[in-house]
Amino acid sequence: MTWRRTLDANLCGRVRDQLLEMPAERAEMLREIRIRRGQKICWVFSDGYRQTGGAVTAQEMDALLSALCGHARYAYEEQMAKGYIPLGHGHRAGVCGQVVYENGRIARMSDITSVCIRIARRIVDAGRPIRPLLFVQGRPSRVLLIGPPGSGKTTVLRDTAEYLARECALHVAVADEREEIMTAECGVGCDVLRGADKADAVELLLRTMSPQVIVCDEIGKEQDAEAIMNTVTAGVGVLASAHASTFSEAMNRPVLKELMGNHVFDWYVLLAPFGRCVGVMDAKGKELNEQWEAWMQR
Amino acid sequence: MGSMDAAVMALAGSSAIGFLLADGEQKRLGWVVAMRRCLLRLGDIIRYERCGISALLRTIELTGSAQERALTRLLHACAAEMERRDVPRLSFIYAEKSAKLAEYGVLSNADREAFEQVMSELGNNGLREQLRLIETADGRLLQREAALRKEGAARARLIRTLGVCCGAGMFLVLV
Repeated sequence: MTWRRTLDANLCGRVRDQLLEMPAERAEMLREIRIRRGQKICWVFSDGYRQTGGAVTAQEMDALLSALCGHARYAYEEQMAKGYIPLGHGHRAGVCGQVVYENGRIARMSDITSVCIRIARRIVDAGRPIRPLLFVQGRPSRVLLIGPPGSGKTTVLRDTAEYLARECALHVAVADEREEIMTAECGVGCDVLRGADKADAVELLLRTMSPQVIVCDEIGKEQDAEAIMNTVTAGVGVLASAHASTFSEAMNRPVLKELMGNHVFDWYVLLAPFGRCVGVMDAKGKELNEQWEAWMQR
Repeated sequence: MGSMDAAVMALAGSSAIGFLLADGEQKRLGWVVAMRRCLLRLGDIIRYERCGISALLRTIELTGSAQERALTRLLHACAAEMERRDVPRLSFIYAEKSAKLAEYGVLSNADREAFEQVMSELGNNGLREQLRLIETADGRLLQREAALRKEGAARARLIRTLGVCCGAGMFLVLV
């Protein structure tokens, strides 16, 4: 199984052994591995979670962190300060510990006590439900995916970006800040800018890659909203995502409120856990669930 | 005729020993230069690229001298060992592998200390600390290099001269 092999290189000790020993059908259901110092390892599956072994010791945590960084902590210092370690192939480890400030900004994170390894999957046709929404009057549309953590926003973005590049022959540029949108197997035909802040990445991509669609994950800051506005005024399609559980929750977030108020997006799609599409709203805030279902049947 | 042969042999043997010992001095210098070049490369990669330690060690490809090639092989062996171990510690692996390398034995403790300190700390701390460590080690190796060039060259010349003189003396005695 490819994803286990790719993740295996970044793990060590009990976590690695237990992952490799896990039956294939069970491993397919694995979503996250949560490791907390002084507690049992928690394996989160799509149907619940299971805790294994004894408490994780400080030495085990240190060895795991070292392995997650490829034994080169300096290489991931900046990412760790932002709370994550990219593991390649779209996998990501979130980290939590003691934050150290320097000159008013987070300089590093030390004394790591929690690690959450999120497993990236390439689910073919995960973005199928939103395909009827991808074009408006012949131009690539602007779609915002809304969903809570773990609802599959990134999986849907990944599949849709690939679909637009491969099937629709569009120039798709991906602003992959946390290096989790594009895995090794996908990304064919997409221009991927990894590791840069979304605002910087969008500006760079607009200037240099002449994209027809820009894809970015998790809009949350004012600068992100500004970059999306610039993209839209440049006549480029947008495929983005944001955290929220309902349309009304999304509308209450200041950044999204501004974007929605300016009718930046043509469509808003609400996702439920595991990538289920549960609602569609148009630019004016009108829910179009019946219409969308009819499109899907066509 | 027999004593003539022995005298010639003594002259040649003694001179050869002198040259061999002098060559050892040059090898020491070669190792220090190789280590400095390696540190320079490590610093560049660490500053501009993001890769794990085993991949970093594998990117070192120094071929300028026999010592550089030996150091490259040593680092590649360490990289392979790191990939094999569940919890790899570069300092131990480097110590193990270098102890098995006979050519590495020409180095004195003072010569190897700076480079081995980098190996023991590589990957364990932040970028600034890593670069400072490499810079400090390079400074120390630069001093060793200068000292070896100055003293080592003179000593090598002396050893060679002594070898030849000793051989000549034995030649005269035997003849």
